[in-house]
Amino acid sequence: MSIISAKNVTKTFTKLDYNWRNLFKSKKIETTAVNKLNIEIEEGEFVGFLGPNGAGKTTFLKILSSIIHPTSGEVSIMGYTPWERDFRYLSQMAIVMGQKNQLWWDLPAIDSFNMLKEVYSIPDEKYKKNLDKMVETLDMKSLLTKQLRSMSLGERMKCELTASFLHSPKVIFLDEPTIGLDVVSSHSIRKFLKKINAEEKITMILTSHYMGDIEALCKRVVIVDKGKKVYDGGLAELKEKYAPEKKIEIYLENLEEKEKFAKIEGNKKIVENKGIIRVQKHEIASVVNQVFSQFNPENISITEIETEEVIGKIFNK
Amino acid sequence: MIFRYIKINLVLFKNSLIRDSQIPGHIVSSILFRVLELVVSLVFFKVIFTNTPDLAGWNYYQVLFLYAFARIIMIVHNAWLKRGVQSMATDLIRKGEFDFYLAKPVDPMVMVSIRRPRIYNFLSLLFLIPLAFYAAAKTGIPIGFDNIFWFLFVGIIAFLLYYFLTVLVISPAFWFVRLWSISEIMDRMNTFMRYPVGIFPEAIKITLMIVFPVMTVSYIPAQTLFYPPNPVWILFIITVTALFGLITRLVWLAGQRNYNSASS
Repeated sequence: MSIISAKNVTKTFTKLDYNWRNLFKSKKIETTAVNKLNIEIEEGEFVGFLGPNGAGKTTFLKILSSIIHPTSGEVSIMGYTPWERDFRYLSQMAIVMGQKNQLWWDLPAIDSFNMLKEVYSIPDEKYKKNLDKMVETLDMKSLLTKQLRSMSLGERMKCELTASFLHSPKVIFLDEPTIGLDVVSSHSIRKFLKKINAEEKITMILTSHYMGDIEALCKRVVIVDKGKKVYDGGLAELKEKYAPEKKIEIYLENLEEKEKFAKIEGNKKIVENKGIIRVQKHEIASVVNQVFSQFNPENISITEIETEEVIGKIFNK
Repeated sequence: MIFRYIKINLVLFKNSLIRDSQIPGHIVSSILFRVLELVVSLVFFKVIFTNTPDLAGWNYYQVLFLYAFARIIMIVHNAWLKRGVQSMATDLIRKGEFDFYLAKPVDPMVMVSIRRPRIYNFLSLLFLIPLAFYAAAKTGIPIGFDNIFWFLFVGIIAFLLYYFLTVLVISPAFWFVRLWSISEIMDRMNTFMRYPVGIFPEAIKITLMIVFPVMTVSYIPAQTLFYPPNPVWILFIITVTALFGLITRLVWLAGQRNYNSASS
């Protein structure tokens, strides 16, 4: 049984367009951010939401997290309708937004956590246990007494995540949690999310522009464009469907090798000293034979098409 | 439920103390400003009463009490709720920070209101409460226990009414988003709370006692203290408060439904 079920969810934003000259002839401008979106998510799933800016990812997450009302459609999460704001639902859900802080800017993190303890009515023992666990997993003991305003972006995100997990939510929505973070911070956040998803079976939906996040965390991806779902399935199947080819890369040591490379048939190009051939999977055996017989095997690598490229293909269709 | 909000409020008061203790200069200057404001008002009333023995039947000390009581309501509101309520019109909706209040198991209206207390503002009560006692004692009007009981009862209701009015005033921010000036409206209306109702023309009286009952907030409790408690007035303030409580709540909920957050 699905823990999250959304049927035909549509959100249209209406804006009045008026100016002083045509004050009484204002017209409505409607923008559909989410368009008849359907999705079913099982308990414990980690689903990645992908799409270009303005695709409707964040709007959809805000509908699921009871922040905004949809124009039409139905959503059921653990049996609750998010925008009815049933406290029993809100106590089991959390949202993390990479670009907004829920913690008090000029207070030490621990004071904000204590505040959330009361907001979620977390019993003392559970609060201590969860806080200790988060502090240990995210290695953030020194941050507890530090004011939010004097933290780096990565440190702040660790605190935001801690704040969101204190009440042991069953469903969590992560809206670009690694935005602006350096490689080390992103890696530590991903590691934490992966661990907590595996251990606690928390259902998670992640939106991110970084493919690294999606590839490291999500087996299933939903791709939305202009509010509509264009793909829903496994990451591996996505590549299979939209990029059923492999990439053979050969380091070309000299001019002679470049000439040899030019004689190979197929979809190919040379970028600096690297020859790249894109091969359909059914042709791969013959091309590989040909390449390995002509070039030094140490200079050859066979890779999948990068996910970013696949996504780009979908949006540019 | 109510205990939960009390607990949340205590944590917020503690947080406010921590925050405010980092700006002692601001606190001192703010207190000095309040004292100066009080002195100027006292001088102003003294000047008025050198020209007239009473204002609509209220003597100097009754008017002084009315002023002190109105200020007490404003100060408690300023210290406890004002900054949170105002932030709806200035920041929370415009920047989309209201999101977090909707995603938590709390009443967003209550939570937003109590989110940012300015606890040092309570210090002004150290001057205003003694002034109210002094003025009440000097009126020469006998004040019985029934007066005190009904005054306290009506005073609490009046505070609720004042709160509902401030929330109602900022609620259009849900639809119009950028409404900095709207957060100042209540400050301007406060002026009417300092004078006896009788000095105003009938149209203003009706407007500010019923349509936008800001004068009801201070006048009816003060009247209940100095004169035999009038059941009609008491029933009136209870009805007006309940009505404005309902209107405020409905407008707020409609606004909440209309809230579209801010794009990230």
